[in-house]
Amino acid sequence: MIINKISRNTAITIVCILLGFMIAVQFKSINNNRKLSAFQNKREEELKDEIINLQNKNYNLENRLKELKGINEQYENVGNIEEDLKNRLIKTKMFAGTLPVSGSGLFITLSSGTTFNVQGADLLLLINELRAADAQAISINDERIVAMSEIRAVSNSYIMVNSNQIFEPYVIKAIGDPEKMEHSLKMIGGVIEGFISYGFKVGVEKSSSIVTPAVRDDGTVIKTDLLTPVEAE
Amino acid sequence: MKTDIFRSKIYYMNICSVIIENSCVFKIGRIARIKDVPYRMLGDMIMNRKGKGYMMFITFLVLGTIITVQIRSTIDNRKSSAQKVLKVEKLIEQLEMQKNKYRELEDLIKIESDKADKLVLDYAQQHDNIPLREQYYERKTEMLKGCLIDVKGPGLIIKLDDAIARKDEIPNSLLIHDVDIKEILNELKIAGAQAISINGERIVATSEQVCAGPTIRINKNRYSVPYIIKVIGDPDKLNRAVNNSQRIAFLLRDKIRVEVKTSNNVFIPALKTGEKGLDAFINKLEVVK
Repeated sequence: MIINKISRNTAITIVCILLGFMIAVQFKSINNNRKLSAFQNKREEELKDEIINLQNKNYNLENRLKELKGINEQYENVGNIEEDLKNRLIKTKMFAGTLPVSGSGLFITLSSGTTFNVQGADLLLLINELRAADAQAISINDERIVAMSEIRAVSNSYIMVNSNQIFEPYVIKAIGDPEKMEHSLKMIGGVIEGFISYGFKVGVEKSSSIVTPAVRDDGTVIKTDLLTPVEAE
Repeated sequence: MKTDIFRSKIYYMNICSVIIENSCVFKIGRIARIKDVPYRMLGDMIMNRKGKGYMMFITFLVLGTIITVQIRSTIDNRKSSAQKVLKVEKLIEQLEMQKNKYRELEDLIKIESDKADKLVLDYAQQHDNIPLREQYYERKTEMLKGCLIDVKGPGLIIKLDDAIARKDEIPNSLLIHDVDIKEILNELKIAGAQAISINGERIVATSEQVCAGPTIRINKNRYSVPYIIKVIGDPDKLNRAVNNSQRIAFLLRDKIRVEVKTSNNVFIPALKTGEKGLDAFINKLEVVK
């Protein structure tokens, strides 16, 4: 009788242990699977986004290719090559910063407050923000910002831009979409808010007739002596 | 790290459930042996043959159900995850296709614009049009100044990669931020850099470097680590700038991986004006008369 009882109890114990173990395994596997599928869904979405993005780009590229082919056909039939080249030269100069340009944009003034001085990093931040908001031409105190323009804080009283000293108040002119640039500068937690919290004197004005000068083009700002053009055969 | 915690939780639950089951059995066993009247009645109910039979029946019923559910869910999951993997693979394939197409189109555009240049030059030669030829070469120099031509020259290749994940640290300090890139670029420019690219994106006057989540946006394209900065300039000056750079010292302190290589033949591609041409970069500008 007693042995029988013990063996039965043991049997029940073993079955219950098994049961508990199985419930745990079940729970774990379901949770794991749920997590895995969530991850895969996210990846799927990302991939879809990327594909759509590329499809749009490819569509634009195809159009651009057609456009270029059209131009070349014109050239082959000797269309207005001279006129065209002149235009392209001007456009290249505008982009390179070797021509003064005008357009609508922002007129920003910045000067130090009583506690903090405007430093190079502040100007760098401001300019990067303007670039991110699609500014097409930028100048600081009439120094046009080109690809290799540096901003160097030398002392508290002046900053070097394009290896020229510039002094306060700093006047930054940016041509682009005025609304977009103003919005990105003035957003909450944005650059202007930061400047005001440092006690800087900041002025931002929209204008429809901003003029940015050409870069000093004597080989001291845009240096190309170490660059060897690589051209297709 | 998350999965570890998760796993350990499950592990504890596993142990707990086993312990609970065990203690139940022991309690029932003990209850049966206690001679107190109310307990005894309960004990008798459980321990008499009929009760035991029922209990066994119920236990095995539950066990059977659980086994069935488990097997079914495992099979289902395996099936659906296989399907999903297939779908993701298909998407990746599609993405590769689009990427290849993009590259092809870019090459075709380059060929087409080179052809345009050649046609102009041929025309100038044929007609002995010296002003036109001069204009052609002037445009080439302007393109060189405006970062619109592929270039090569002596310089550095700097590779930046996030630090290897460490515990007990603010993850922010392990990552490379837009500020780091911005300041390093400025330091290189101060040291007389003549051309710079990051992950193949040529840095031009209007190139932004903005953090966008775990990636950095340059010329409106997003890039993730590692960031490869290629720079053409006097290698000695550039090296000195890198060695004296406060920003890079900070990065090294945070164990961000920084590799600097000097090369005599750094290749830096032109700005990709691809989609809408140069016009998209200057459509808001007018020439000052």
